[in-house]
Amino acid sequence: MVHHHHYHEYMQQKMRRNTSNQQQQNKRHKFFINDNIDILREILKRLDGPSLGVASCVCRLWCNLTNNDDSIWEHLCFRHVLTPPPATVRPVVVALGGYKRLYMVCVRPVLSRLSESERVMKRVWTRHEVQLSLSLFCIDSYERLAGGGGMIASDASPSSLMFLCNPINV
Amino acid sequence: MAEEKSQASSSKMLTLKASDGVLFEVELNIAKEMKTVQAYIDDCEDIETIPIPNVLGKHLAIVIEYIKKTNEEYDAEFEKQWNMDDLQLLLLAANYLNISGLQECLCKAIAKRIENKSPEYVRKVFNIENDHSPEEEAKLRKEYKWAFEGVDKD
Repeated sequence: MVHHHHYHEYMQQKMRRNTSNQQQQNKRHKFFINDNIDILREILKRLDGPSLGVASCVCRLWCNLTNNDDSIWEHLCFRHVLTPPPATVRPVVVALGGYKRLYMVCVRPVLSRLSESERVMKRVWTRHEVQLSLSLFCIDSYERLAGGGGMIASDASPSSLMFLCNPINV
Repeated sequence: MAEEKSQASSSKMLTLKASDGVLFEVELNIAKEMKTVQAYIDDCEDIETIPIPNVLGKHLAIVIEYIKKTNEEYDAEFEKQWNMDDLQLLLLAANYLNISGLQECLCKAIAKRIENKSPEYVRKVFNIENDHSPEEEAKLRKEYKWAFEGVDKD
C-alpha cells in the first residue's frame, strides 16, 4: 500500500526506473558490427573483390579478417560458378598458397581481361575458366618454388607461363 | 468454404512476446520458420507465450511479415524500405531467431550498400573508429591500390 505522502517519491522512483529500463533496452538494441564477427564475416563474404580490398583499410579487425579468413576469398573465387568445384580442390589450393592468393594472382587478372571494368561481373563462370585459373595457380606456385630453391636459373621470366595472366593488347 | 477449410487445418496459434512487451499472435507454421522458436517449442510442448528478449516489437513485426510474404519478388524489394540501422537490427534479429532466408536477404542487402564505397563511408555507416596507424593505413592503401580504382565518391 502506498501512502499519499510517499506517493510523489514513489512516482519519481518509478519514472527513474522506467528511464533506466529504457536506456538498458536501447543499449541492448544497439548493434555494433565489430561485436558480431560471425555476422560481419557473412557480409564480407558477399562483397566483390575490390570492396574486400577496401574493407581491409577500414580498421584492424576488418584487416585481420580479410587477411586471415581464407574462406571469405574462397567464397569470392567461386561465387559465380554454377557448380562449385569438388571438395578435393580446397586442400590443393590451401597448400599452394590459399584462396586470397588464388584470387589475386589468377582470378582477378583473368576477370579484368574479360571486362573493361572489374566491377562488371554478372556472367557465370564456366568450368573451363575455373580450371584455367586453378592451372595457372599451380604454375605460379611451381615457379615460385623453383625460383626460391635456386635450382632453375633465377631469371625465370622468359620461360614463365604466368604471362598468361597479363592483359594482352590484340 | 475455403476459409472454413483453412481454419480446420490451421495449426495452433502461438504468442511471441517482444523485448518491449509487444505481443504477436502467429500460426505455428509461421513461428516454426524461426529455428530458435522451433527449438523452444520442441523443448516445452505446452508453451503458449514465447519470450523473444532480444528483438523489439517493431522489428519482430517486420520479421513476421517477411516470413509470411517471402518470395523472389518480395525479397528483391524488401530491403529498400529500411535504413542502415534498421537493416542491421533486423539482421541481428534474424540471426538470433535463426531464419536463414532472411539472414541471406539482409546480408546481401547490407553488402550491396557498402560495395564500391570508400573506407570512410564504411566506417561512418557502421560507426567504426579507424584504429590503423597512419603508416599501416598508407601501407594498406598501397597494397590495395587496385581496389580503390573506381570507388564511389563519398
